[in-house]
Amino acid sequence: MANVIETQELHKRFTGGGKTVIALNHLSIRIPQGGVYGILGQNGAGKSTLFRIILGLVRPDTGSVRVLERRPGHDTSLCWEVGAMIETPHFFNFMTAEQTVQMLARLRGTRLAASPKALLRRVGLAEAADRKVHGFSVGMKQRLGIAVALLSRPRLVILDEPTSGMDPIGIQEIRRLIRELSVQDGVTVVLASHQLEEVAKLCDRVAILHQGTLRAEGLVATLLEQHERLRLVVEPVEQALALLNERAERDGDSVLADIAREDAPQLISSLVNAGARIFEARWIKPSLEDVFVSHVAGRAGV
Amino acid sequence: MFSRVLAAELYKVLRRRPLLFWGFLFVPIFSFAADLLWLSQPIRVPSITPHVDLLFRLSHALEISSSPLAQVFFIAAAAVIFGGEYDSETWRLLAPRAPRADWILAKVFLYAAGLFCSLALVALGTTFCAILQAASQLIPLTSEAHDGSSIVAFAAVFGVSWLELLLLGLVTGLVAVTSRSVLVAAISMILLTFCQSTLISLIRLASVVDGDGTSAALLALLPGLAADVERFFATHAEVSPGLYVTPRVAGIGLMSLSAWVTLTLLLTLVWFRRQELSRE
Repeated sequence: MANVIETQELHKRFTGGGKTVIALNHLSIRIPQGGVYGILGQNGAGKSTLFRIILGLVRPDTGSVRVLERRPGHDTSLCWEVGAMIETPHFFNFMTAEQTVQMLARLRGTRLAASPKALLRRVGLAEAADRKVHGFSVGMKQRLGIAVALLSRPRLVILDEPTSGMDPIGIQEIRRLIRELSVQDGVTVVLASHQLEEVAKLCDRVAILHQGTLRAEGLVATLLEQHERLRLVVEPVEQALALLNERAERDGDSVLADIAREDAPQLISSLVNAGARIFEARWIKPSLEDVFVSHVAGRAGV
Repeated sequence: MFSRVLAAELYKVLRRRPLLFWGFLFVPIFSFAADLLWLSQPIRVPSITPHVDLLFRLSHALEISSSPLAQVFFIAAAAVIFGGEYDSETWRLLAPRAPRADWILAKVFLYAAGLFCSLALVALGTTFCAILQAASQLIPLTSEAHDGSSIVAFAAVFGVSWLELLLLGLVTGLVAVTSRSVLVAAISMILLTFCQSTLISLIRLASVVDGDGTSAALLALLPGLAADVERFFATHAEVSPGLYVTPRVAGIGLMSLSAWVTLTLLLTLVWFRRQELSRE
């Protein structure tokens, strides 16, 4: 499968006020074509810097980036194949939503994917099309940002916190839109979000960034599987903890063991042979939040 | 691609009414109102040969480009046009969609076009008032250039005033792009303009035109002075009794203005192309 985004040893630091901040630390990441790809990270993890480099707004200090097999900032045709909404979108306060889309549509010429009205309808802004952007809530600006990102039927859509500031109904609508884009339109969607539950529901693959480095990457299902832990209700607990050494922690009258699935029969057998009494053995599936915290906090287990 | 960027910028600017009014319409309206007020004055200084010299009137009216008060409005327009995207944080929306140079060139084009319209309106208002005065006082309306066609002389004065204000806008644009702020650009340029105007008022134009050693340096350093010299040359007006601007001095002045315009535009283009838009 081809990669829509490929970075190689991407490094970027910002200097200002006597301080140097490393936004991206030799980041190499490959985002495959198709599906919804999530980029997770705390504030300052480097997500927005990565997006800005992808859009050619910021140049990396070292390393390279290829977007749809081209170099951003060098090939202007790329900008119409990539739709993006970076951070909270800002617009021209003196224009209406429709005028904003019309103005940006002029940059595209005649090859618009849909009429401005249809685009606004798609993101749920049809009623507010004639209203000045000045009076828009954050959620409405997010919707307009998504409409603008979809202006030219892009092959790749980058959305930075697409549902921030939205009400639950709005979040559902945008989630449905993202799925539509991916499944019906065949668009690759790359999104960054702090709402891990949303990412788990939407994304096929995720990457976890921390301090500009890639901590984990893969299919959501695989990552969750890798972080599964075996919960053993056992007596005496101390015996199980001693056998598992550092691969387990106590949780009340049970033990949470950080072991591979294939090692479970051997462990249980060892405990039984050692005279321990096992009342329950169950695999605990972690949430994406658990996985994220484990990678960001640097903990071995969940 | 440039034509599309220009179309998008034009679409945006036309919806920015306060910018259009204060930036490009207020000065012509003010100039027209002042002309009308002057016409309505009952007291007249008797003229030796009673006639209305249209070329003189137009040249005088277009000198508004060197007025620091009028320049404040053009500075404000340029600061908003060039620095607006930083204040509204909209470069992230625009910059990825077209080459960066196209954005700056489109803004320069629109500002230049706005200036052209503004000066044309000033000229139109003055012409209207001149015709009105000639008709009401039953005196002839003349338009005599001392040397060559009056149309050419008018075009030259118009061009110099346009170039002077274009340069003002370009420097404002450069400050707006480097400082990423409309306010910083506007305030610093207003201060700079008043400083230049004070300096020019302290310099005797006759000494510059006489062509001593410092005249070339002064013309190169003070584009406002260069524009004044060009206007005198275009209308063949006397700087002081019997003293006219020579083609050599006019050439230096024109070179100074052109060099300032080219250099400022290039610096803005290079700076903006290299600028990191990690924040607007």
